[in-house]
Amino acid sequence: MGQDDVAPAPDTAFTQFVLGREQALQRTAWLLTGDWALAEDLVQTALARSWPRWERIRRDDPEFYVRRVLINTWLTWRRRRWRGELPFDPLPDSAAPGDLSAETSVRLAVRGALAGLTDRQRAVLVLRVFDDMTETAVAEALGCAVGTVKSTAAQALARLRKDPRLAGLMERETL
Amino acid sequence: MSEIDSQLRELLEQAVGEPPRHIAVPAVRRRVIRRRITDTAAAVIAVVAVAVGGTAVAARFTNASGAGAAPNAAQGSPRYYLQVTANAGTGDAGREVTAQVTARGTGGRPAVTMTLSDALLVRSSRTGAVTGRIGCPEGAGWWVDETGIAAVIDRTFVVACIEQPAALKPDADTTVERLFWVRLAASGRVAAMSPVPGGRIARTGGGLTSMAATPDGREVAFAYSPGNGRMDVEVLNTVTGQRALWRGPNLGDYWGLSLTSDGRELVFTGAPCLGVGRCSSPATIMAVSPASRGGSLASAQVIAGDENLQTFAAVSPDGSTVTVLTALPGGALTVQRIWARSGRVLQTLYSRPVTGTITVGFLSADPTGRYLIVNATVAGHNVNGWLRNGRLIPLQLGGSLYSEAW
Repeated sequence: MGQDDVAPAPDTAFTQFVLGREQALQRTAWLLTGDWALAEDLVQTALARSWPRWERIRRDDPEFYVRRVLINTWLTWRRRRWRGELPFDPLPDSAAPGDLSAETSVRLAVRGALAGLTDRQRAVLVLRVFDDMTETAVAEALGCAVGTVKSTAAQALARLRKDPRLAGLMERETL
Repeated sequence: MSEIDSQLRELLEQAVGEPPRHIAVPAVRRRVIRRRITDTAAAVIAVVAVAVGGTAVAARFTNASGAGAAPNAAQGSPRYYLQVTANAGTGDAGREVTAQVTARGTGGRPAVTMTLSDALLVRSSRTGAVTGRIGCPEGAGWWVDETGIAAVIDRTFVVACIEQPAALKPDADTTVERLFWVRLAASGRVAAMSPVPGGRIARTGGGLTSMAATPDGREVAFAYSPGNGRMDVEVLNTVTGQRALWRGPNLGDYWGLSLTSDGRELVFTGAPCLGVGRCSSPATIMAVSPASRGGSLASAQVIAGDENLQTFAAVSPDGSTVTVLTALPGGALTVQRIWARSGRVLQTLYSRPVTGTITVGFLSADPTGRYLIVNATVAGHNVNGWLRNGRLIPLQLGGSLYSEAW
């Protein structure tokens, strides 16, 4: 620590990164998990896994590295047995009075539509569309070929087009 | 980025909104430290396990039938919990129905009022998501008893269903309840539901006030009022169908039943009544043994008790200690482990200073006795969660909560 005279110390750089990017990372995590508590847990896990290697990471592209850890952690979680829980009710019981607002309707529709995708489709779609990563970067993050990313993204979009929950929201945009 | 991509991104942005909380760097660092400690501990445990592996395996087979074993001890906190709730105001009102049912005692004695609900939810302990819903198999005329749930091992529970029509008869002095096994799949859905042998209860003036089961489900204990102001406790052997009756005094109230893992000792909280309507204080933690013998509750051994305390207790699987949830108005909400023999405090698991009113809801231990759900109302707010390292980890609530088990 403290060997680099130009860049801030790893500890400071890590703090700056977390302060600057945690909200964006949480948004990505929410699109993957559909739950803010899980999203926070996922981001914290990804950051905790990245921190010990921060000295090396910060010289390259820390955000890409953290997102790669985040996405792979999430995919690992999905493979775990206890993550195989099947939510029985579409709505959480603690829904606020604003449950019927347009914002909530959109959120539920998108969450439901994303839940209908496979894990890999959802990962590709979120990284490619929401995080605006290139197909090459997505392929590197997921450890697959660029062609696989293209075909997976196309399949995901095709499935979303058929999803009736999004049809009402996107009909004027003719998705 | 194509047009469709842009439109979709806009929609995703709209759906995501703002995260409710910020992530703090210290929290990440604590997680790193915990991870290192866990990794180190895992390495040490692995070395120790290899060293003593042969002995451990031998001991496991030797003790396979041992009644004192805690079958879930190594599996961490329970994955699911059951929640009986009226679920009011959640948007699910069409499916959640509650009713005030009055069953009169013989000869028009004071009525017993109870709340019934068909909302028995299975929730994930980790995410709070509803993963299953349990209804009584007989159909629409049957309701889940608000306090009739108890947990046994392997994601299995005992659930009490009560027959509505009998309870609604104006002069009914009996109602019928049936006990069922409910087994959950790994996904949290209900995998199977079947009647408990000998689990038909036909003498209740009201519903059950409490139910408990041994971890292996061999013994199930339940408390109820026969309808004349008295309260009895029965212990059912689910293998033989035999039942032992513990007859209460003429006036009394008993709740918070718990059994040791061998089913030998039954611990409960009671309020010896000084007169009608004066049964709430002092609350006393008591035990009877052997539970399968039956007899008079008046002969119960007193473990602990204190005037003005609201108390709810759960005995440990080996019977050596009792975990007690107490509330002293204007004082504190505490969970303490006490020695069963002397009543002396062994350890304070949780303590929260309270100003204002406080009402104890319930204390529910998992089959290992390690993991505890605590429920209380503090200054008008419902406190509901499970204990971990002295902290209360919140559990998802759903409407008006009556009881939980895991």
